[in-house]
Amino acid sequence: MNLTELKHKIIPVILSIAVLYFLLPFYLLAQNINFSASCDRTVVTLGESITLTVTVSGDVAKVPQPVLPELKDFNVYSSGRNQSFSFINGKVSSSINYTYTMIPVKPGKFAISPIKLQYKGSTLQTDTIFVEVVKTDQQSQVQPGVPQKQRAIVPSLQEEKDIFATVSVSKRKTYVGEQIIFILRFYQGIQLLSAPQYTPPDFSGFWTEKIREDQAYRNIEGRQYLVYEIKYALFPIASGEYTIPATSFSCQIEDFFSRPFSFGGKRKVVQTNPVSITVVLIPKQDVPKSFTGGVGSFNITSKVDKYTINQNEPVILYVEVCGTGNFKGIEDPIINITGDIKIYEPNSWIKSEDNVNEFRGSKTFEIMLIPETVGEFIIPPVEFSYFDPSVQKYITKSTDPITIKVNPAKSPDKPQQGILIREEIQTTGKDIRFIKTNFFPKIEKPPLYNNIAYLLFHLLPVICFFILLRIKTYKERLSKDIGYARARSAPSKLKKGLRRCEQLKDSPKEFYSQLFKSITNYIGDKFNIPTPGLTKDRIIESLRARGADDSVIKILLYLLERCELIQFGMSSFSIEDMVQDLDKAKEALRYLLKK
Amino acid sequence: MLLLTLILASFNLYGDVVMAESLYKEKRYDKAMEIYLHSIDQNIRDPFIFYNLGNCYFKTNKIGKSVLYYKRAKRLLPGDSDINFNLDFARSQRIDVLNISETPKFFNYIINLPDRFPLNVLNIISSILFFLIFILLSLSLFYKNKVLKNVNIGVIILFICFLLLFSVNLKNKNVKEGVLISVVEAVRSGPREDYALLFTLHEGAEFRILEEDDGWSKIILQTGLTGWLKKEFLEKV
Repeated sequence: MNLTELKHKIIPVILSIAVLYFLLPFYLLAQNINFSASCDRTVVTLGESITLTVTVSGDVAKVPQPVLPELKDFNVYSSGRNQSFSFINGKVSSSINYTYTMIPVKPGKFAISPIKLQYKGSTLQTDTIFVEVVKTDQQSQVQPGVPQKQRAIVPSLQEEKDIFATVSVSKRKTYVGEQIIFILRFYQGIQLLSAPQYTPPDFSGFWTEKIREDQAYRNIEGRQYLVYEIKYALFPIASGEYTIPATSFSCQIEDFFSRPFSFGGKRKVVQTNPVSITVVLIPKQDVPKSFTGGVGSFNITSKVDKYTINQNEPVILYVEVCGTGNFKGIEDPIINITGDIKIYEPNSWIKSEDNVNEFRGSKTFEIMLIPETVGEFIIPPVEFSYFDPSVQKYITKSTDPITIKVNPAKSPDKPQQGILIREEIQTTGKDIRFIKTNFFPKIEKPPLYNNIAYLLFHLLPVICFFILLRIKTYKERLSKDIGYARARSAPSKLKKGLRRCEQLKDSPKEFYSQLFKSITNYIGDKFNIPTPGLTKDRIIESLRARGADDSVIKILLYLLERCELIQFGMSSFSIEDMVQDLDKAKEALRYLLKK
Repeated sequence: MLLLTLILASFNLYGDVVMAESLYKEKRYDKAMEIYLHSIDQNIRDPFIFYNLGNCYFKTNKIGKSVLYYKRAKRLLPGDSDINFNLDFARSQRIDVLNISETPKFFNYIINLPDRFPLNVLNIISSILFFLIFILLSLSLFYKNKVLKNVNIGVIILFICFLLLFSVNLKNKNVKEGVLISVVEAVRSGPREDYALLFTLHEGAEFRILEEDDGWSKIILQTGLTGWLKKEFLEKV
């Protein structure tokens, strides 16, 4: 064992002990803890390393270091520990990973016996882990599934074997779309001042997926190296000859002797070889109809989000292609659904699995279907064909058919009668307006049109109007029609005349003259005859013409004659006669007035 | 004396209203609802009480009742924007959507114009115009004036318009409208359980009541659909 090797073994151990010593006081209140162990691989080539991770987690505070069992068949180095804290519901929980690097010393099958942890008087222990160590030349038999991947190109011979870089590809001749594993390795046999730096090579002509990046110890030609490994999956896009240019790693090495007072060290650059890859087209004959560009090894499954739906509601069909290959190159699957179903453009996404040796994952297509008729409809098997380069053949796989039941829409009269169903209540964050505040409630008022008084009130203007109309027509007649005016004024004039007669009882002559005037005036006014030319005969004539009673005519005739006689002093009279005559006149005229 | 008791009653009610308001603010909608319903029992017909009650029902997820009370409020106070907004909002929460044909806005406005005014307001305006007509007629008896005559013709035309509005409003008011208050109900072809089911209606559906017969009502939807519905599931506006 030379000095450098010893340094490599001792320094991490001392360092980890120191770190543990300083961090231990943090674990104060321990309660429930989980304790487990795992290895990054269980099959390992002699000379490669295994990383053993021991995890202690829980609401731990003070946790003792786990005790590793005695492992005779491995060289064990502690390669550090890391810790994470989390606060959940006010509780602190932490998880500590102890990482150990184990390098097998001989081939064979080994068991890592349980790792023990003393905690609060009880002993926790992990499961036994089985590890198989194979010789380098046995590797292909052990891992038949990936036969060519580890066929490394012979490391480019460097003058100094302290640091060097290699590149390996799983295949140099591939089909378009076939997965190639491209591995960059940086071997470090001495202590470096800084981690190596590199820029990824130019992968033009390929779809590239970085699979993983890790580091491990390896034994090459009896010398211990720390190996950085960067793995890419490459998928050629088109046929042709491609060269992936050399990749440079740069690092700083200790160069104490040439530059003793410099802390930077000496920059050193190592290069890989360029790699050329020949890409050929996949066979053109016997291409299945359902081939959508997949190259690799896949499986297909399908499912729907619900099996019973209502008419015009969507159902989502998920078609998942999983396996290994060029997911990016897989186009949408062909779905042959017939009938009254609306099919929408598929939506797709790719998921990849972590920590695998090749690019592995799944591509999911989400297809929305809306059946437009009631009943059952069947989603027929979805066919998917791909080219499998390992057997150099097209392979077709298909899903199971799915039956979906379509119920009629919720409202049976909907399509014909125009009542729509809202699928769900709109939740737009809107709300009704707030209540009315600060008002005096009103007591119910009956409608006005039911109020009789109110309705009768409307008669008032009508009545007023007709009264006014009457007044107006009367006035108009008075001003225009003399006969009417005379007839209207006759009774009042007569009354006035007769009243004067009564006052003139002392002078009989005047009395009779007044009586005569009153009677003639009245009849003249009444029948619109000019008074001056009114004779006895004309009066009687006009009275007769208007159908007056004979007895009345006689009385009037007698009265008029008597008036004439007395006026001219041709007849005797007494006071009684005067009163009698006046009464007679009144009576006769009252009769005429009525008429 | 009567006036005094009325004023006192109003103050009493005001206290109730304030209490209901504070209950509503505390989201105790059931209690607020009780107070409003009590005041309605006392023959109060206030649009705002109906409106607030509609809000209470809406908040307790009784869309049917809330539509009913908003409609009642709208009958008393047709032009209030809050009432119209909440009525439309409550309508939008119903399951059934009546596919009313789109009418032009202006045409809609004209159709709804009579309902925009309270009935009594239309009544009073018509009455005033009626009086004005006769006053102007009377004046024109005694004063011959061309302006007066033209004004009177204008007033008569205005009066006829208002009379028309009034009568349309009165006709609309006397239309028997109903709202479905149960969650979902079957509408049948005749007034008995054993008649065929024509369609189902959901809470808050509005319709006109055409006739009534022994616990059943014949209804017509705005789409023209008719059928018989059990009386107990609907409430008249």
